[in-house]
Amino acid sequence: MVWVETVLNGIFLGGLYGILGLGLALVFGVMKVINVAHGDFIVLSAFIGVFLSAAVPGVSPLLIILPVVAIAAGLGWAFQSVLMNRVIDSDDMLVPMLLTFGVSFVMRNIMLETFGATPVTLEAGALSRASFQVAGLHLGVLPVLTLAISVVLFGGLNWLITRTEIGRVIRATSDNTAIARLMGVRPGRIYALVMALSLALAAVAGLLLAMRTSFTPSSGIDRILIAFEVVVLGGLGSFWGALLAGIALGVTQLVGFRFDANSGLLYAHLLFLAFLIARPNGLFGSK
Amino acid sequence: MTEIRNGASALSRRKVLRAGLGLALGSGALGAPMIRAAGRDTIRIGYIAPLSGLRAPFTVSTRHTLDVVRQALKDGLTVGGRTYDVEIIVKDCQSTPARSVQVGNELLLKDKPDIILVADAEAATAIGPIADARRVPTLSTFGPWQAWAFSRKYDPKKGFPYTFHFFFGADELGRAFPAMWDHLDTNHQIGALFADNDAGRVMSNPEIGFPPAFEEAGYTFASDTGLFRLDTDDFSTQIADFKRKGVDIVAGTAYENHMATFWNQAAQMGFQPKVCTIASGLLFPSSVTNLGDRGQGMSTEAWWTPEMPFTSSLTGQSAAEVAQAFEAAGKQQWTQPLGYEHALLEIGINALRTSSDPKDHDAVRDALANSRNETVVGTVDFAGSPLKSVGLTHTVGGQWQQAKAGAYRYQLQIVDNSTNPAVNVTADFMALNY
Repeated sequence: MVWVETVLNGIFLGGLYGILGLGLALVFGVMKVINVAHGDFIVLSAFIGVFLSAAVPGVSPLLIILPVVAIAAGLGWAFQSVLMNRVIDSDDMLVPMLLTFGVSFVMRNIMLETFGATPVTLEAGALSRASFQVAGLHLGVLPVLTLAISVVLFGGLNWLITRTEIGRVIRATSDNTAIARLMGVRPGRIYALVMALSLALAAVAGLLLAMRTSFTPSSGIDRILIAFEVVVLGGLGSFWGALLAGIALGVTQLVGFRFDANSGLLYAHLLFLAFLIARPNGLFGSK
Repeated sequence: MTEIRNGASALSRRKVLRAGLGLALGSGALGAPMIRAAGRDTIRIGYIAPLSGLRAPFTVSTRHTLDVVRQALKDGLTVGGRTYDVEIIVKDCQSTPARSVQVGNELLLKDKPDIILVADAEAATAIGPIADARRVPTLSTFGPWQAWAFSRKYDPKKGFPYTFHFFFGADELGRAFPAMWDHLDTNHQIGALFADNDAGRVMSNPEIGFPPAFEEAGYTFASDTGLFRLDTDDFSTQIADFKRKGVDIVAGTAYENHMATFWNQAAQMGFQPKVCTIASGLLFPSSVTNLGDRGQGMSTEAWWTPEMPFTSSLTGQSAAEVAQAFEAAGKQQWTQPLGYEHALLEIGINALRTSSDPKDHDAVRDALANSRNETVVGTVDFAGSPLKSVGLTHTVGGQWQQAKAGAYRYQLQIVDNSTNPAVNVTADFMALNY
């Protein structure tokens, strides 16, 4: 029974890890850019959420998600149009990555200056503590909800990319920018849209994270590592792979805790390493 | 003279007088140091603190405290009839040992301070050896003295040559916690929650940490899954084990972010202990307000509160006045480090003031080693300490309870004073209520 509980909690935690990596996977899949500032955007969204929920007290944090996602999407659009599109055509993959690296630094320090270093959480009231019992197991409502949101987001994004008109345009731009341009697509716009989508996903991740635990401006850097692992383990650019990878990492971590509570992310990192050796392209990687 | 070279605007009557006095004294005493007198005008204090990173909550009041101290020293510091300007050079150790060593080296090699004050035990541990090697008097606080002392080869009879530390010991915390629990009826079974850091390793140590002290008081660690790493973001393993062993008490040390995660998960998993007493992670008002309604009744160490009957030797403010000044200036609730960082500066400045020559490292070191300070956190006695280089202070049992009045949600009440009868009990210890 204890093991079932452990594995279930691992799956729930994995749902969160999955969302942490989802936006990163999207940007990498389409633009072949690693957005190092993704973790900082996650934290920034969390701060915006805390700020909004303090401004309008009594509103459920689940509703707060909507305005925060909108703000984050706007930020993403601006970030891509104003900054990233200037370097996106560079032959050197390092140039856009270094730019996001710089943005990450600047953001972290601005947040430190603005919000201070005191840990804050998004007060979700009863929701963060609510639980229900199934077959003698105590399960938290928030973790289950996190996994559900995660599955919906993964499914939705997959549908958007593979089944819709805009998804086809995004894929076409990613596959061959020159030909897409000949067909009347403006790649800069598509990239801005993708970044907006990516940061909207980051916002959801940030709010779920903020309801789970307290965070500081430097929390983004702690989370980016697990997000990278989710992306690489899932297979670069693969969405369902990223969700499975998140769950694999979450379960491995919690099962590892049962043997050694001091292992931290060790077993998750080991799993990552083992996969890197055995399947360098990740779970669903093709190329 | 420096002032004159800097131009007329820098020239004030006070500065001229001081410079003249310095000259007169210098020439009167020795004759030769006359030329050096001008360059010796400023005392430099190096101040290292974790302004960012994991331990940043310890420094929310630092900017305010430094303002207060700079204000108190705006007319300079008079030592042996000479008045010096005082410059405080602040360095952020970012809560990491690597950065601590870096800023320590920067201070020692570039800024050349006359004394270094370290508001972080782990930074003090990191730079201790280089400060001793460079022979610069260094005083630190914030962390049980054992963690600081035993990170190097420590002999209580000899101490360290230039490094000093003041704080209470993990052993006293080990007595303060059970003394508080004795007020309640529990099954005396404890679940352990220790973070894997300096403090956690010392407090969980079976010889010098909590276990022997708790055993002696009749409490046992029924569940102990071992130390947890600082990046841990899930405590379901610990909570499941606490439930299985049926513990009434959770005790240990963790950081604030751990507590938010732990306490929410405890609720989700239906774990309801009677007592949750955590060092460090429940220290700050934010640590309990972050827990919402479930912050009520969480207990922790209380090493400094505004109710304590002590006065600052630097500003003459009482503990309550120090807290009020911070709340008025910062628009936020007082925190315990406020008292200790004030005391850190008090003792450091006292050592400079009572030394025969504040620019002579050995003289400052001797003054510090032979000092007995009455500070805003109580007496800090290096001269009479049985543990050389260590100034012992005290801690008592504290509990966060709904504030009866005022702008803030919870107030830290002193619920047991058996480890330091000098402070008064302000409320009864209550069991956690669900």
